[in-house]
Amino acid sequence: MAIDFLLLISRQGKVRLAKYYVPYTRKEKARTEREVVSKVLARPRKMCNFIEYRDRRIIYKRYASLYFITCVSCDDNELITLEKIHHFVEVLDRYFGSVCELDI
Amino acid sequence: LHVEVQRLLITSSTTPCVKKKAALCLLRLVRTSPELIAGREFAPHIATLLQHRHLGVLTSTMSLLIGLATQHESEYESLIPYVVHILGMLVLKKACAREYLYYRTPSPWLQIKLLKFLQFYPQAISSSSLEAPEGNTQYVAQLHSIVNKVLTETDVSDSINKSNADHAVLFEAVNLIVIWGHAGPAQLRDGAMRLLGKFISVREPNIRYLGLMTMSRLAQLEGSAESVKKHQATVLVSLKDADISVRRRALDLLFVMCDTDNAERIVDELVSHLMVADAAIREEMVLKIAILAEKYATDLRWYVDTILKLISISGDFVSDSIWHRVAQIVTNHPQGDLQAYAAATLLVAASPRRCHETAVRVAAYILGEFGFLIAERPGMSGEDQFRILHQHWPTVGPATRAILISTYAKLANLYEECRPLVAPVFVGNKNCVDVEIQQRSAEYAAMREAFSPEAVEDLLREMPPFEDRRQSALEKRLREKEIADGAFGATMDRNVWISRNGKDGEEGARQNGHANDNFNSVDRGSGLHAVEEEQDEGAASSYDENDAPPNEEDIDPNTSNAMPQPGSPDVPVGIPKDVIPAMRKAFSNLCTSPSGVLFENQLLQVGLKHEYSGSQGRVSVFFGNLSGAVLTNFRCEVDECEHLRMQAQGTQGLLEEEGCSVAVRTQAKLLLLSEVTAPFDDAPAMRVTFEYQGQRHDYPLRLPIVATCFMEPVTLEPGAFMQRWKSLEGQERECQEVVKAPPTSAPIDEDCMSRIARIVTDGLKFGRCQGCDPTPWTVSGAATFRTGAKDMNGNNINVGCLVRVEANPQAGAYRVTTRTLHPICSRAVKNVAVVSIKLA
Repeated sequence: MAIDFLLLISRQGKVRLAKYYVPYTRKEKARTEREVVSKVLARPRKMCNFIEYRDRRIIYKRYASLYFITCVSCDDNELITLEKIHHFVEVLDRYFGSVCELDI
Repeated sequence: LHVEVQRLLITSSTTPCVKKKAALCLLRLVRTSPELIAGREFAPHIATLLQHRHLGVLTSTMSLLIGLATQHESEYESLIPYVVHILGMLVLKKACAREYLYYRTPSPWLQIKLLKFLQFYPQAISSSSLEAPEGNTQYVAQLHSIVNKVLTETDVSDSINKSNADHAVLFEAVNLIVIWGHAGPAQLRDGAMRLLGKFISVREPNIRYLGLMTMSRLAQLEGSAESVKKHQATVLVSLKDADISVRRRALDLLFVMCDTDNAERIVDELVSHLMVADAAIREEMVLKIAILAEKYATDLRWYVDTILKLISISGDFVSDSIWHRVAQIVTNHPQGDLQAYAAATLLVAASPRRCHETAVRVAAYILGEFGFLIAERPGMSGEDQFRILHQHWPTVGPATRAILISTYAKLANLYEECRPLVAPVFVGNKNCVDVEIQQRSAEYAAMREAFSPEAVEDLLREMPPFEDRRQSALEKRLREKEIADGAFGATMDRNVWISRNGKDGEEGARQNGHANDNFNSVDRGSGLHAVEEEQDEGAASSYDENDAPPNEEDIDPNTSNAMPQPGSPDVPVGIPKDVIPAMRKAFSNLCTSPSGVLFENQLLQVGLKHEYSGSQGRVSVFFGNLSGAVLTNFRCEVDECEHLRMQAQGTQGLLEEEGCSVAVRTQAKLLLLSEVTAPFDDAPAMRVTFEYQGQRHDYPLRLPIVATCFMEPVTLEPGAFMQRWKSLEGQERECQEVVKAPPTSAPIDEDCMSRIARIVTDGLKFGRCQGCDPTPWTVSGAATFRTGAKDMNGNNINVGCLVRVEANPQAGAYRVTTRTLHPICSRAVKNVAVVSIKLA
């Protein structure tokens, strides 16, 4: 029902921000990040924004060179999560005034 | 600490900000320890919160409410009207504070949460609600109109974000419709299906994905199959979509909407797609194709073909369970030419030099069984079969070689010309590194000389059909086992294993009393070890359904009638095989004694007390938790039988769907009042299921309520006894059986006889008839079997029963004869008597 984690990664695969809402060990975190990043970066533009990963879903949105990735459970509404990502981005934008990747 | 938080949440003086945080904090707390909040008391507080103006508070409250409802849905039902009201305000009137408008949509997040909450209560909209019917209909109507509006008015707009938000709400509403199922109005369902049909051909991949996903949920409702099939073509196209996520969804949907008409088409499409599918979903596809092909196969030959295609295309992903299933199905259908067809097709498939290993395995097995059916055809003689199979010998792995060896043995048996071809293979492999191969070669080679020809014939005969295994083994039991008594030395045991397990075992299962392990032990004779395990897994071992339970002659019925599907998850734990002999003994003891333990293992002890008066009986069953943790979802189901009228009462929840929880070292109780209405010779079945540490357990047991429990002793004068005895002479009404005393017991003497006498009087509840026995080695008894059924005059129907036990000290055996007016009665009494004597 809730977001498990939030990742912001660059086009080259560098993790800019990682916020976890469930306890993962450091090893697990590293492993998850690797797998998720490789899956997301492999997708061309035309494809839909949802991926099945283990028993959960990954929802991502691309803003210029930055990918916003969230991981939710299977019974969550995907489109609304997408909107949450967008909402977050808008808030950042308003708050910091025209934010870009380097700011993060 | 949670008390503080609750207080903050509830008092009206706190600011909205604090309230929001308090609600979320409480949600976190509740997630970790669910028993913090007593639902019923808290619900009214939530009601007041839901009337708050501030949307932020509402959103947080809804999060909390959903969290609580996931745990205890029944307690928050009263809040439904409030929820509907808020939803109505947002959707219908769009009345919302300006900050909360998201691209001109009023707080889509809140709308979604409200809809999610409503999904917990599918029954809320059914008109047969108990509380306040008038209030109900009002909000039900409102809910319908809300959902309708969402469905019809959501549009794609310029701003992709607004579009997304609107569609998010739309999909959530469709989910709600799906949950409602048939209780909701049909036009909503149709509208939803139409919309989804549009969505799956939209360009936007997100919408396609969601459309396919929601459609598969909608398709699972019965009655929607027709409307879904209209979109079948589009779905098939989506299967080839560039996006893997969309392809997966399409696969899922196809799986759901498949049924007998379109199965062939869909499966063929899937198979052709399998060739281009990438590795990630191949395994899933293979499994699904196999399941679909099996379920909806109208022509089994098509099924065999499909599986063969699967193997050739992506053999690596075809697990063993799939081809075992094929073998099972082919074996079980002797009618028609399925077996010949399968054998021929497989032979052709195995002919090319390079062919997948699984295909070789299947071919080897099937040819071994049914090769003789096609041996007349040109190019398919026994020799040809051998040649084709053997060409793969160098390239296959040890497991396949083991199967091949068995097949060669069968071939050699069937066709004379194969013997010289096969012998060198055996000889060469006697020293093979792999133990399995070595053993098989050695044994098969020795078998020729060791057994007489007929024995070898029998041993290597084809496998009987799977469900009927029980009977054929039974037949074999009845045969004499002189062949096994031959002096074959060390190889005897091994050969006994082979014969019993693989082919029609004719060695009786009296060997070591290992009847129970008949189907369990390593199957050397064929590669079906895993198959049998699957059978065993599917149905925890259960008693024979047909034979009288106290009869120990029954073989262990480890067979199951329901074949588990390949890859079926979550198989419950059944009764372990080693407990069964003890269980039988306990059961038999309980038939003749008033109380005792019916079943025991480390987790559970089932104790039983029963007492009877005339045709009525009281049975109390106690389920004691012996483990260290709580047993949850504990329930027991007692089967209905036509000859026993039963009334059951038990610990709260024990007999219902959800079961009850049995804490450590406590007992759940069940009281059964039964009245017998007709003679019977089997015992009612009771199924006990529960969950222990996440693992489901499923034990089928039998209640020791047998005919003799309802007997009332009758004293008869010797003359009267003999008169009745003679009058009941006649084949159907008499049952007789000879029981050998166990070899370890003392020779039959006076003590023994008095024990027997006591069995007859106390255990079987017969009245001893003293003077009518010519020798001290006979015991006679008489009783009436009382039933609760009434005859034409309104009197209870009773059946008179007579029993005689004659002992033969020289032979160390007893002969039990029963004569009653009703053949079933005779049989029942005889069975109980026989078992009691054996255990005495």
